[in-house]
Amino acid sequence: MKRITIILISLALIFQGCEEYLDKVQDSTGMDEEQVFTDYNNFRKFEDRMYKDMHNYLADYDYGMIAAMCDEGHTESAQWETMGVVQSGDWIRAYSTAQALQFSTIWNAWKSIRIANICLKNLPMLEGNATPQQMNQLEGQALFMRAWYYYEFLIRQGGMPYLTEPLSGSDNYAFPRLSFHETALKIAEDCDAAAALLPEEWDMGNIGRPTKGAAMAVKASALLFDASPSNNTSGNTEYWTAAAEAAWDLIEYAQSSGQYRLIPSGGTDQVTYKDPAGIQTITYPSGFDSIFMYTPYNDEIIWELYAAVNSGSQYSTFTIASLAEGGIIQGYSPSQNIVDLFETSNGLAIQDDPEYDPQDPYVDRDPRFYHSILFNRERWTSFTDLYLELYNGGRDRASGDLKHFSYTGYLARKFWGKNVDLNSNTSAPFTHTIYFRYADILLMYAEAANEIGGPDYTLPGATMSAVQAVNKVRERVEMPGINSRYLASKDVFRQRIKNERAVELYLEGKRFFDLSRWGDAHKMEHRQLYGVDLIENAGRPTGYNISRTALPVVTLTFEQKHYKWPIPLSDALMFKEFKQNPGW
Amino acid sequence: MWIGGMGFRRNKSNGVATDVNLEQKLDFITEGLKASVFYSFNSSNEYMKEYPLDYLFGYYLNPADSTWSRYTNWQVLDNDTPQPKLVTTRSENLQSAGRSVYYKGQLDYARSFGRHNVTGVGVFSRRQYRGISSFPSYEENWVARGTYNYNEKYLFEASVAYTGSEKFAPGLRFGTFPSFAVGWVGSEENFWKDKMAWFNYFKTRFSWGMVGSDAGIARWLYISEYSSGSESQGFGYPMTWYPSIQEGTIPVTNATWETAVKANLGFEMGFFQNQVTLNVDLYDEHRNDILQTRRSVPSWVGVTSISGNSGETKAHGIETELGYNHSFSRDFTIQLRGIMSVNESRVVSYDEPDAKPQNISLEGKPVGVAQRMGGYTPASAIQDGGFYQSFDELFMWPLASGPKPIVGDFKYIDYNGDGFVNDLDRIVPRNPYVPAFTWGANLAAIYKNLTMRIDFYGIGSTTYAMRQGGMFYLYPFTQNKDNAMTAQANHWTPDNRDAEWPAVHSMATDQYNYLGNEFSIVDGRYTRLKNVALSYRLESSRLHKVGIRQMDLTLTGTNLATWTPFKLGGDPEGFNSGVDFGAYPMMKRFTFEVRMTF
Repeated sequence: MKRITIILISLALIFQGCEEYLDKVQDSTGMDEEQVFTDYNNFRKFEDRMYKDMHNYLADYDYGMIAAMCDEGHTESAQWETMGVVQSGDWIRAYSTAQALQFSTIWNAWKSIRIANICLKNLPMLEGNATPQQMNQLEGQALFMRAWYYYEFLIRQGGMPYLTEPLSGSDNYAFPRLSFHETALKIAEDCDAAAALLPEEWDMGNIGRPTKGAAMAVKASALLFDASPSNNTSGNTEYWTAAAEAAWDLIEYAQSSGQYRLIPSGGTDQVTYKDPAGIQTITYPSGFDSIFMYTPYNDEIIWELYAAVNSGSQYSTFTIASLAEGGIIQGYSPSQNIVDLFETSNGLAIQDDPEYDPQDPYVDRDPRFYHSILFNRERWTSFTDLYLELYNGGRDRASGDLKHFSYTGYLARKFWGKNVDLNSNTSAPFTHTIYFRYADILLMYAEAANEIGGPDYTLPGATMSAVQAVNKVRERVEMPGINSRYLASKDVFRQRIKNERAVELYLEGKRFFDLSRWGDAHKMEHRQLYGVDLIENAGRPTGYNISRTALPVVTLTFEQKHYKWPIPLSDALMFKEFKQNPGW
Repeated sequence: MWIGGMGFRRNKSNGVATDVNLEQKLDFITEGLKASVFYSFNSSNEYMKEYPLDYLFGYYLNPADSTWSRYTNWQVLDNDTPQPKLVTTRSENLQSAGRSVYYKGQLDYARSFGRHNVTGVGVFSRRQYRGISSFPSYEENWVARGTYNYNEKYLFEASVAYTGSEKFAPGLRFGTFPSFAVGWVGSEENFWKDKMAWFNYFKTRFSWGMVGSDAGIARWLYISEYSSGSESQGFGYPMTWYPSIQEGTIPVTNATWETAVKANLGFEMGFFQNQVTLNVDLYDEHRNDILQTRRSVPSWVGVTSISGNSGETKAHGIETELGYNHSFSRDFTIQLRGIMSVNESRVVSYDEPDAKPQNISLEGKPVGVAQRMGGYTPASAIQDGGFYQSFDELFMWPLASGPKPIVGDFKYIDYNGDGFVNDLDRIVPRNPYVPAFTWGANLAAIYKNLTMRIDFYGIGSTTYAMRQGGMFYLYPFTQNKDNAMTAQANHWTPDNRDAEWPAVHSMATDQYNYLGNEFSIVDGRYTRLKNVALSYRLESSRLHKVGIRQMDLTLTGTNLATWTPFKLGGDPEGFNSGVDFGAYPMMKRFTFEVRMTF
């Protein structure tokens, strides 16, 4: 009897608590969801990671790729096969090459979109643990970054499924892509919501985070892309109106709040160069370069990659061996195509100005030319008494095996701090990788207004016409207003706006997308990059016979399909609903 | 011949094993009932201490003159350095440790009511196991089983298991796994015994069951965890770097047991007093909810990997066994037995995206293909379409990336027609690595005191990919090894266009042919004469005098012959790692055995 009792009791003891026996978990070293999202600091730490996928188009490991993909200039490709792949048009393969960051880094931004969506979903958990102002800031930043990354996809690959919630393991992932227009509208919606929540400016400890102005700028740009000929194939004027209104909203806000303005010139700068007569000087309005350098922040920048401000990596993108320590990839060469776009100081295009002398082309040009480009025999303004030898056969000109020198006879100067080089022992100053600045917004407004009603059209409710907006930008560098011969019609003025964008926003990662949205990128004149032949000839004013190279330095491949970037194969082949862009 | 010495290791292990079992007959409740409780505790530790040599030498026996010389690690001849000593300062380390605790309670019932025999079992058990530094794992099991048979003629059995594992989320931890089996011994029926006495044994049985597994699943998949990220973002002037927190692996909240449903139908037959026996088994198996990393996860999910119970595989086959056993006279008996089985298994669902091309999709392919993806011995290859016969063809055919081809190299077939030859053009050959058909035969003949046994076995057609494209067999000139086979003399030259082998290159790796293609896929079917044994039993009065009751002499030959279409050497059974890649070859062996009973 006793034995039975023992057995029965032991059986009974064993049977207690079935599931609790199995409910044992090792203590984890990390944090769980509660801990992260109910504490303001942890929430912000989680959210801040979404800034990581912003692309630095000027980073030295990107080698100026986006600028070399259009007619702004040439990045040497023989030593770096990624550039060759891109130039040959095989953009699907570009996703799998190591250094095509415009392709792979940006496509990875889906991770940050997910982070933004998780934050927006979990924001209610912060209720009571953070001030309403803090919550608005977090919400505004998440909405803005989501819109920002979708904008980056929009201008490259086009419309995307607009995810507003994070996906889980058991969801169905087969989403169809929205059209370009629908995606642009959704981006605009997110920007409006973000603009209402984001502060006008941040405190000193948070400079660089997106502001209300940044949200308005992204909206304006997205709508402008939506209205542009490549995407607005029916020529719907309403789209242009929407774009103009969005741009005007930002201009009005900037003027009334004083938040943004064009950095004025404030003085003069000089370049000196050598010619057969001796050393010559050109004086031009200063200040333009201060937008990009020297100060940690300024009033013209609306949205930039602030984290890269101190890195100075931009400085090594455009170097050549005699100026700075460099690897083998450097030697970014601006093309003759872009040099020809800079007007004379009279405000006329070079082909329209009787005073322009093709054999002495570098005098009396648009001040932005001197800020942006270095030409032959110019003295590099540093402690070294170095005059650039960009003529054919010169020390700084590429020939044969010498790969890291200029291919075209010009070097880029924008983003070079004054007096910075190998021998001066100074490090790069603050340098800005800007996404949007005030001048860009004025030009956006001008372009949209012109499309609606011509150069003198003023948007209802606005105080500026299209031509007035452009002239504001020109005034800053003390260039005369647009010459009346260019104001004859919408089409002629449109050319001048395109030109103005090319010279004002040179090297800022804009021209490739501008050419693409205008539908001009496939034209021969934008695909063939020419250099300049500088042959020694003492009889000429500069000492050299100047002529465009007979053959282009490089001919880019740009077919109809290149107007939209391809989706990487692994994603394009996955679901029938998510279609690849046509032609790929 | 090289010999190297490295020192020695000393392993110490200790262990404790305790079992306590209490049993109580409960006949007073009902006859045949029994209860028992079992508890066991096991613990073991193993320590290891190493004594390496303080420097290492390799000893080389020169076959030409049979002298030994000694080389250092860097293959420098060194006969002068004194003998290396053992390093004794290393400390003892715990190599492995384990502790498990197991207890169960069980109720047994067994009773016969006339011709009805009934048994039943109910078990409850728990187990806790811990390794050297892991969190203990827990398991709980409830099992019940009942059997019934009537006169050993009609058989029935049913059981159910309710198993719990701590790897899954609350609510999903337990799985129910039932099974049942029925059988009928037809030959016991009266009408059978009357009418078909020559068909002396017939049993048919059918069983169906469901089994679960949590073996391949990581623990605690349902918990999400956030950790400090390594990246930080800069804002502010002066620049402040704001740290970040990142998401861990995405939790799989609905992970649960993988289940396998198996069904088996069998027939056991005996004829003529079991002189001829025939067994046939048909089986069918489906596995569901296999936990795997989801493969159709696009970029816009924003994570690197997510798991889910989405895998499904199936397998089925037939196994037959035929036997013949006949004594022609008192002295002479023959026994024959043949086994044959046909099997097939394939993956039904692997969570592949719908739009994935058929040839590279793992669904619908045999199970082993998925495991071998991207490994040294893959189960798929690019087809080759003959050799490049002229310079024109070099430019006409689509190319693979890598070294450029020369005339005489393989032409690859662009299976999907996209103009490039790459991984998207791979196809899976028939029966990779696992043959559909295997068989074996045993023959025995006994005449008076002499017995002879012969064993064969073999497999049907199966394909193997030679490891890494068969680097050492197919492309002999590499790393200065220059070791070609005579068969490779039949290589492509302009005079020998219809050759077996491609054009010869000086480096194995730097040639177009090296891409894993059909040429390196070989047919691995074989028939092997595994054993021949001849034995004689000696029984004579002379031996009895010495005290030996019986003496058996046996001569056995093992692995005597192998017939296979693959002629380049290597053991077809060792193909799993690719044509004896470093494997010790199979030996032919003769044994003579004497056994004496006193």
